Amino acid sequence: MTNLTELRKKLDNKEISSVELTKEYLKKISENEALGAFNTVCEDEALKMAELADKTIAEGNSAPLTGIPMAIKDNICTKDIKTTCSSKMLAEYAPPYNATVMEKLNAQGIVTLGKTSMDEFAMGGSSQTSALAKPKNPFDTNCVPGGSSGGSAVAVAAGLCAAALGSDTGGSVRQPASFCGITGMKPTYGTVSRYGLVAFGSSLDQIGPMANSAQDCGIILNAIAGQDIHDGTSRRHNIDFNALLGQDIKGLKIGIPKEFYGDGIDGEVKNAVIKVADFYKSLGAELVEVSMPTLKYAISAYYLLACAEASTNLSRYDGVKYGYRTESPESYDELIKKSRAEGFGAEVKRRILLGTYALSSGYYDAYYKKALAVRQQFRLEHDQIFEKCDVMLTPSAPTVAYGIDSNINDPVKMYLADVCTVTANIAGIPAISVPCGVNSANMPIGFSLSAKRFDDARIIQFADVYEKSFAHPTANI
Amino acid sequence: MLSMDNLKLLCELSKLHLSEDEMKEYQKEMTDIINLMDTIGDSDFEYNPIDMTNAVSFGELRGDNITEFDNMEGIVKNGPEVIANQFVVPKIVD
Repeated sequence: MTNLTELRKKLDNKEISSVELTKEYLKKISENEALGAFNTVCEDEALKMAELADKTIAEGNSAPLTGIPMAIKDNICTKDIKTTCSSKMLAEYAPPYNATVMEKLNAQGIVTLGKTSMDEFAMGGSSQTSALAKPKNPFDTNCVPGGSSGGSAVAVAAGLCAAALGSDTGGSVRQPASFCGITGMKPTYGTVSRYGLVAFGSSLDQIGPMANSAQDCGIILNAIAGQDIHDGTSRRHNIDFNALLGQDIKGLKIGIPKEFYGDGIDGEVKNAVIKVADFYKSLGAELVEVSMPTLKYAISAYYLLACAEASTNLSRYDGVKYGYRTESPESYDELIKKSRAEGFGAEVKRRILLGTYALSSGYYDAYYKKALAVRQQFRLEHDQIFEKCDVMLTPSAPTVAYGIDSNINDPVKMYLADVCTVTANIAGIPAISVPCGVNSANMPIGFSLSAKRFDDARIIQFADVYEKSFAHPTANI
Repeated sequence: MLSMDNLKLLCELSKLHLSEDEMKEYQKEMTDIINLMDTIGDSDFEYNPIDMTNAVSFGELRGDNITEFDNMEGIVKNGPEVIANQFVVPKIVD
């Protein structure tokens, strides 16, 4: 896998042109259509963007991402290019505007290869709730790639793009990154604008990079981060995400939360992550045991908050202004109810119902308000943890990628599998997943590093130190 | 077990039309999901509405000004049924 720094050098030295690079990736996408990574491939647009990028490079004006072919998750609005959220509801929707992240990437002159498949409306951890392409894991095509940003993870792992964007509401960047043997990062809530990211759980959603290295993630974050007048939750900050690259980790403290190493975590995953801790210790970092007693409420708090927000956010899909519309409705009420019932898949409907339940009269205090209280406690607990350590080390997921048919019909089992990732979203902190080898069945294992809010550069530093010594696993395609 | 009446009310509030067979399926699934959510009842934390840990200062917000969206054509193009730049819906008032 070529990282972005090497590609930049090759493009600037004219060893390869952006058009040639784009054609190579388009060919690979076409050869690997069976992996189901993309809902839309923008061949013509990509080649035009590559031609423009080559001109910019020839003029000596290249930015870090000029001419770099990227894949974009299909819930990030791309003007006049379909943005389907892998849903029948938005199957024909072509946004009339670009998301802020796309404006920023386009300003650097990236090449958009296409839109990657995902769980419908980012709701799921397998990418199999997609109503369009159903992505498969390039390490074993009988296994899921994880989700919800499964298509982006597959595209990076299979070498179908140089890097990709995903979105992360409860682990949707980090868990598929872990399942597919790549690096994926959720930045601190508020660092990247959510304008143009189709809303799921607005207080939890963040756009994040998926790439071949932590350094690549930092390059992409440097391009897309920043306060945006279109997103009132985006924060003013001056983070250089790669500022700490190459710095020694000697003397820094790594928190090991004991609750993340219990019986629910697969033995091979646990051992692999413990080896990562030992590696950091051998470089002079100090391991400290920390505790997160509120973890037992993480799944319920996350699903109550995310679904409450989703039930509100998804009320905009009424079959009137855009999106799917049922045929021959007899009344306005029927138009809305049938359009939504036919346009949304089963998992989306379950989450809307759960969110409505949590917000409805008589249940609001017992569920939604309780979840808000747990969120406050989570933030407090994380603040206390990061007084004792610089980063926290956990598995990225309780298991490696599982068989396509094994979990996906049991919503409760699926929800419980998110336990390693949702805490970072609830607390609003940055977290990165990095591959740490494979299990006995040759499936990738990932570990996660998190830090206090706006300390994103710290986890990139630690991840980079590990990647300098251990190569990512490679898929056999 | 989530009662059928309660589920019907949720469907009405959520504006989702479900068939009888679907209702039976959802009743079981939603009961399992709500049972999982019930674990939050064991926590004894109190929500403090004053503690706005993620609040953005007003100085950082944009002015409350009306601006014209520059791609009205793009908006209308996505409408399932549009006549003369208007979204068409079934008759509401007789």
